[in-house]
Amino acid sequence: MFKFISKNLYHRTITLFFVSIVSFLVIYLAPGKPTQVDPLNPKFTPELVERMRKEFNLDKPIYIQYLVFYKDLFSGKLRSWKDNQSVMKKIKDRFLNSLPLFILGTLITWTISFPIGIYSAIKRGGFVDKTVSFLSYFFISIPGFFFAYILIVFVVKVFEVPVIGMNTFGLEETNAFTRFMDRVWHLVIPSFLGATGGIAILSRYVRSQMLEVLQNEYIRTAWAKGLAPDEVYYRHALRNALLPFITMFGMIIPGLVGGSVIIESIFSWPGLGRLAYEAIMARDYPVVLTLNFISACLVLLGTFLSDILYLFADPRIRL
Amino acid sequence: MKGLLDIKSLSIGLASERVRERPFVVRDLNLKISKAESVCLVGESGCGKSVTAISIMGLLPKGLTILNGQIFFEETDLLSLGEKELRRIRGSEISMIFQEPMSSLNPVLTIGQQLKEVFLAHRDGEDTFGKREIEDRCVELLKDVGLPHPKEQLKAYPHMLSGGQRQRVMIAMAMALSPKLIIADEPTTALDVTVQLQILRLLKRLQKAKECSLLFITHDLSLVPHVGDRIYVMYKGRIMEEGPSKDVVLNPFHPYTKALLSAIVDPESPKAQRLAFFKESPRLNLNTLNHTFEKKGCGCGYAERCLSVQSKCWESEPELLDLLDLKGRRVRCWLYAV
Amino acid sequence: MKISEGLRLIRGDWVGFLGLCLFLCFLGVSILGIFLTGGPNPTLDPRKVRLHEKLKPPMAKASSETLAKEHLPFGRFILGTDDLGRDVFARMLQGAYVSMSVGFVSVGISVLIGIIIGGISGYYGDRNIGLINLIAILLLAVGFILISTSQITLGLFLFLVAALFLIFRKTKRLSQIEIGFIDVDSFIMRIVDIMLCFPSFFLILTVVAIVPPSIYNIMIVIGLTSWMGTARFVRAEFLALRELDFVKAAKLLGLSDMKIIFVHMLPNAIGPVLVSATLGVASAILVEAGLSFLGLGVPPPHATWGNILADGKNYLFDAPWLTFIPGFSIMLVVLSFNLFGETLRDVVNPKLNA
Repeated sequence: MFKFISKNLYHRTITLFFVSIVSFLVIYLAPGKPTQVDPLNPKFTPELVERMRKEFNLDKPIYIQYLVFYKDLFSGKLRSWKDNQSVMKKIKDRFLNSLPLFILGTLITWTISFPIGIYSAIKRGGFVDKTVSFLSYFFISIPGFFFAYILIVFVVKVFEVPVIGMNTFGLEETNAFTRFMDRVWHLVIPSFLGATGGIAILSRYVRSQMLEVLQNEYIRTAWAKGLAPDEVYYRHALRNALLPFITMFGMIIPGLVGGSVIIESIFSWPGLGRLAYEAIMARDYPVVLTLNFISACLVLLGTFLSDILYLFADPRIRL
Repeated sequence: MKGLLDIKSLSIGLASERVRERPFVVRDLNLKISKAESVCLVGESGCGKSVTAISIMGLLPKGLTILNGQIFFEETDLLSLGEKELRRIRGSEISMIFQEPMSSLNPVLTIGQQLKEVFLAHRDGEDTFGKREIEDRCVELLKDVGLPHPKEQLKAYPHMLSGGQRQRVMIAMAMALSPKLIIADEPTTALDVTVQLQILRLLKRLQKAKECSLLFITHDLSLVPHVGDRIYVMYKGRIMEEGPSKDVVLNPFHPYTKALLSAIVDPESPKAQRLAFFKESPRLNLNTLNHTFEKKGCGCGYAERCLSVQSKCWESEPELLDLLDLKGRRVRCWLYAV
Repeated sequence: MKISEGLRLIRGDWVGFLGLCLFLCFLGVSILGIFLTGGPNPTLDPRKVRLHEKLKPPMAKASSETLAKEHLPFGRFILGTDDLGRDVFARMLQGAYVSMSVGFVSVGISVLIGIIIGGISGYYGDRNIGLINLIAILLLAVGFILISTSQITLGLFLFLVAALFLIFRKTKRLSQIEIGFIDVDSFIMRIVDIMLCFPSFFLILTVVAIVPPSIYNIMIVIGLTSWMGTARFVRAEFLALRELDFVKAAKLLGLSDMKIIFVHMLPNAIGPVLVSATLGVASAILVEAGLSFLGLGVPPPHATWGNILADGKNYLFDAPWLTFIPGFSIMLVVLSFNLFGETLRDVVNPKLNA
């Protein structure tokens, strides 16, 4: 067991190292120079540009820049080029904003997808199955930003619920409960939006996995033994059908950073996705690279977790 | 001997085709099994024997449907029963053993869990079997089927056992509630030859001990004398010949039965005799090349491959008839119809 | 016989057929679009600004002033106008071509890369990568980096050395030097893992923000970041196919590796690739729309469905058609690809062909 874990971690660390190099290089392959935020900006005098170059080591060879950058990243000293704030602090703030959105969205997605998918598989071809399939296609195909606007129009016109941003302006004086409910309202639409796409995809995948498992011989054996339908579906079929989802479960963790750019843009939600977008537009490389690195770490962490969980779940894999 | 299973005029076909063109998978099948009797159902792949077996259990897949007929199990027509009642019978009065031991057991549950399930599923609400008792019974069952370390193997997962051992577990599961009829669908086909005989002997022994009936399905005629009291030979969904197994094997009547028997590799039979059947491969039989069926479904199904085919065989299908002086023997062939 | 079979397929699976029909419509519209809106004097001009006609709803009559200067079908703006008075119908037609070409070209690129990488990985699997190949690859990579960071001479020099290595690859002594623990499969899969660590939209966003905006760059970027799925499929299929007898027979006959891979094995492995490609087009179209929406897509004044929507979002309540028309169009097109792709999946899946 230990051998497996250590070997796994070793490989992942190597991968992480290469990822750090590649992500660093991607930025530097850019034809645009890093300080080209606004070439028409009168504030960017040549002297200022030169000073920035020196400060940010842009005149030293690449490998020095690389080493310095990552040293600063790990020690938390890295500073944003846009507003000179500490990168880590910025990320931490936004992270706390993204977190509830992410958790709520994921929770909704996973708790709804499974019953839908399983039911669709069991009653294949039935009314629920056909309706759910149709709706799934609809939600998979609709562009997220378009659907968001439909939702906004609908919610604002019908329910008159506040939608944009994290909380309504001017409510700071009211009591804690009102503020809390206000936060909840603002949270609902974006998470719902994020969840619908996820439910569409996940429930279809659950359904197809379930269908595949139900084709297996041991299911026929279970029926032949005279077991009740509940036992056949939930005890025999589901346990096998769920195995690949354990792998998927580990992969939701990276979604924290990458998943929400568009949603956060539309709802002006000050989260990590939006931070990434703003940083990219402003060529704020420290932030971009840090986010990249963090997301790579999350991916590797997620897959590592999946591997471990899978070890426990599938009795055929024992080390 | 009292009748246990009586299949009458069973016809099974594809569910999705339009009514007119519905090809039959099984057509007008009659089969009887008495108490404590073992019957072999023999035929090549695709002849419909497995389909017949699972239709007894009411487990036909979605693509197939029962077109006609009745299956009487102790005076009750199984085809008229609802799902709940069928469930009560499955596993406790009729049980089944399948062909592929590799995939017939759930890989994520232990042997013990899968064995105990059979008991727990047929508890009828009361605690007729306590936990302890079930555990002990399972160990007994595994011992009966010849597993060397029953107590430890209860906790094992299927992938830890060999094919032969897994098949023994399947037999144990089938025998758990002392059913009256066991259906074994090619239980040894996927096993090594050396293991095959062991499994067959085990089945025979258990059958005698528990006095239950056995429906043994196979494509391998050489196994028949070891297992069956009576034999039915099936081809393209129809019974072609039936009778006591020893008689049929020693003295076959139907051309198909003869061909099957000749295909058994017997090192002692003269080479010429064996090869005679293969020299005239059905594809080269010039007689058949010029004939077509007059109407679809007419004529004997075996006519294309039959070495003794006559023009009558293309025109209409013979009935399954008793042979005059031999008791219990029936053949579906124009050669013997008077 | 063939017609009745075809009809039967359609009856059984009208959903996929619907997808196919929608796709063909889309294809037709985009080709039509090029003719109608392209060139200096197009029939329907997507660029013409008519400030006096701005924000007209669909099927609104054009003013007599406009009709005097140009010809409009039925004298109306079929899909209305946007905030600069531009004809939405014309812009949609122009955008159709963009969506289609971005979808197909980027998927083409990613499938090509995926097949090559997956094929090599699956076919040469356990073979040791060999010192020569490793050095050649490293040199190529470093050379590429140097060229991009404007150190062209050094980069070209390394390219040359790498080329030399590749030429002399087959010489007996050199080709037998091996590096112990690295084999082709794990090396390539490591690269795939690295690529997978980047969340795809994020990566595309980053690169697109950096390179000069143009339709070609977008296609290339999307193509370069989505080949991993195809590579995995191809690799899996090849690993299975490699053990089959017909491959061994081909080897024994002395066929070259390239021939075996492309003529014999690839046609058998193409199933999941086709499905992945179809769904990939849908995804590429969505990505392009998303990029346009965020302002990073094809630069204005060239219309794409994404930027029509982006422009329209400011007038969401006043001129909802500016958002709904492109939105629904994108949805229909993506839907058609998804439907068709799913049907394709059922067709090529050997397990379901009972």
